[in-house]
Amino acid sequence: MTIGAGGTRFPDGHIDWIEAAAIIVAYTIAKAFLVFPERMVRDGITAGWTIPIFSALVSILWLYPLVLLLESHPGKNLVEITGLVAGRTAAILFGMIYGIYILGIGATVSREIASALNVVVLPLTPTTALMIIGLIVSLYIAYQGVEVLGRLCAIHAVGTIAVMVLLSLMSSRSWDARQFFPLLGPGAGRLGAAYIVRQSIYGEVLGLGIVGAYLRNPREETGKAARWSLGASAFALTLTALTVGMVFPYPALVRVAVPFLRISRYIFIGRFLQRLDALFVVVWLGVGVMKTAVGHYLGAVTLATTFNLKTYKPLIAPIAVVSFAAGRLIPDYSTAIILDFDILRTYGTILVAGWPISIYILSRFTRPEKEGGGQ
Amino acid sequence: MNGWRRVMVVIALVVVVVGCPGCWDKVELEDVAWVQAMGFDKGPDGYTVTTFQVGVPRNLRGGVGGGGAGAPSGPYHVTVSVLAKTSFEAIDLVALNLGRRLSLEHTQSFVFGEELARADIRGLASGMDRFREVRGSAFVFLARGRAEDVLRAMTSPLDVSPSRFLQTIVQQHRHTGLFEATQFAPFVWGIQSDAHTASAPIIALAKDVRPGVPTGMGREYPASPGIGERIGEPALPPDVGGASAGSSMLEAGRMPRLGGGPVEVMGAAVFSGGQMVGDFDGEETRAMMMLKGRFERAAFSLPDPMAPEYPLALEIKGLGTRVRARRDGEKVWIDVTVRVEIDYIFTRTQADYTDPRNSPIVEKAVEEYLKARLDRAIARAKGMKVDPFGLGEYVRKTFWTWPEWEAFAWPTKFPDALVNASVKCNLARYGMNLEPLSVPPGERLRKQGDAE
Repeated sequence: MTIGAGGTRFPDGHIDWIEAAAIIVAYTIAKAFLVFPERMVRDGITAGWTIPIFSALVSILWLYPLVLLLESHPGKNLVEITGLVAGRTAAILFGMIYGIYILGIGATVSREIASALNVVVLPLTPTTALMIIGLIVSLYIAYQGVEVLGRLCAIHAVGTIAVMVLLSLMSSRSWDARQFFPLLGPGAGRLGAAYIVRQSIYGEVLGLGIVGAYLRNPREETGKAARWSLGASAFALTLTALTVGMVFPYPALVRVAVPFLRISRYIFIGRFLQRLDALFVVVWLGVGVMKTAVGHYLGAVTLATTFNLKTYKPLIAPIAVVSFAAGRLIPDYSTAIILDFDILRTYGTILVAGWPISIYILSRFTRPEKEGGGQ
Repeated sequence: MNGWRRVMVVIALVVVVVGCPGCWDKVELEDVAWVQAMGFDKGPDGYTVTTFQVGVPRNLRGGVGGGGAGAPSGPYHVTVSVLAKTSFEAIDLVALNLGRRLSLEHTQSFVFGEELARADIRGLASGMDRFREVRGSAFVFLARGRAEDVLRAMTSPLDVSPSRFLQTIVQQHRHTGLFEATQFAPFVWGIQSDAHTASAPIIALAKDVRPGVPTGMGREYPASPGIGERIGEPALPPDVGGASAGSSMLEAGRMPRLGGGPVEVMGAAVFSGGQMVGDFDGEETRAMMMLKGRFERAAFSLPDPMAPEYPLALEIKGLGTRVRARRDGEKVWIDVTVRVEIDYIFTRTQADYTDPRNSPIVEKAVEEYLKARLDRAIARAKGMKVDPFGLGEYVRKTFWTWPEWEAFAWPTKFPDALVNASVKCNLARYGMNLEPLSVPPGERLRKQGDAE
């Protein structure tokens, strides 16, 4: 165990801000290819596309304190910082809840992606088989540690956002800006509430509180990593919601299970350039595997820190298996969506926003315990 | 790489390599029957007649004509109709007959029979939209009569493949404006929208196709009529009359024509929800496309303003449509301005519209002619209580929130909305000549039908 200025708890190497941001972006934007745009429209109706933008702005309220905490505690993750600032009980409490949150997201997303593949591409392949393939590959990636994860995510995030931009531009013939009217969608009150509740779509950015500990120069790079994590995620999610919102009229969109995939099927640029849904097989496998890999890694590091373990790697496999088993327990696609968006993320907002803010406020009013005091 | 990692890599590779090809979903191309078009008709006792037009790859491969080793040995497609409770069930039933699993992944068109469409196709369209193999970019047609008949004949003498025929015929909406190519996804959206209603192009058998006559490529329907055969008179049916009447004021199946292919597309079926409530002829469809801002180009014939007894043909291009909606409580005013330009003049008189002094005359004539068409289409739509023009999309802009818009119930307000359509025309080009053909002194211009 190495604890000290500039050193991380687990000797897992170092990453720079690009890789840290890429891990968070890869973890965050996977949902864009699933039911996410439909959920935005369900909440914001014709103004659904504005939710990723304003929710990102609201998210700054908890992301900024997180950055300040990481900058003032170089080499320490949020669980360790919680221990230092609020004591070990608080660290265990927050660490446990965050671990469950990560497990829950992993379980629902792996189930959603496997179901989407089942529905669209591989109807006869058992959902379990698809989930096991994703599980094994993601397990292997998570085992490689933060450096390999960071580099893979950098390539993956750029590729995924490029696919989003490409699909979006190629569908431009179907865009109709009239779909955005009435501008206030469900009304200013409900829309404002959606901006606050749906900041949960950036819940994954809290992962910066874990990977931020591995930054080479935490004081210089944490802010940059946070800005790019949130900025790139907001760009990708807004682009998706915007594109889907311009192609589908409101009442039609709320019955579409995987809107971005449907858009790829409407692309008709010519006889030989149409129906690009084949791209989705690659994209789904990619985002599914990377998201679950990042989830396994973050979950293992979080729980290892929470329980003061010397290494996190033995926890990766159990976490992956628990996540897989939980995913299998979800009976169907609709339940997975409800669990993900309406329960886990909605109530997870309390944790995502409340944790960094409360620890930051406490850190302003309490004298920090000595290093290692919270371990 | 240590031993543990090697084991992990091997396990991962084995699982991924074995798993990813998807053995459960393995499909051999030779085991699949690719449906090119699908038709739906009302059957007895609540059943649906579903018709599948399936390409025969063996014969399509060799192309057309030429003979020799690559020459086809049979039909290019087969058409199978089956009676079943649902069209989804029909897919399985036809597989038992053709001996291959049917795939809709390359289906390019869905044709709804008129009787079924007048009953309601909301449920059918919803079910099809949900099916993973159906592509939203496929085209939708309304068959005048039975869809099964149209699908049995649907080909062109210029193309052996029905799918190729479909690809080329839908392109004609851009060049003629006499029908609007409608894709399946927007069609389904129109069924459930409260801002616009769905429409679909009308496809029909030519009026001289007789029941029981095989119409496949190279079969009994003659692409070139026999010597001495004439188009029956009168050229236009009795219900289409007036000074500015023309063949484009008809719909598919009524075109005065001899030879060519056995099917034609013209006009639009108009829906209220999932129910067909009426139709537009070719000219009204052009007006609909103008109001939607989707009109691109068409050839119009109108009375020559300087010699009304002669027709004046014009190539008119759409430059866009501006719609402004105002609302005061329940009352709605909509101003529509359609901008067009004349690109070519086909004149049979000595009227010289290349003379800038005469330009306003033809521009005004076009504006009045098109405005009459627009007003007629709007009036007919109001009579049917449907808004296939999507004017509701503009009215929706006058609301701040969706609940307010929903409570307004646009479909019930459209018939009372004051829609003011106007046309702005610009004579931009005339063709490759400037002045009309000169007439030597002493000769007089003859009207068609004048005694020699």
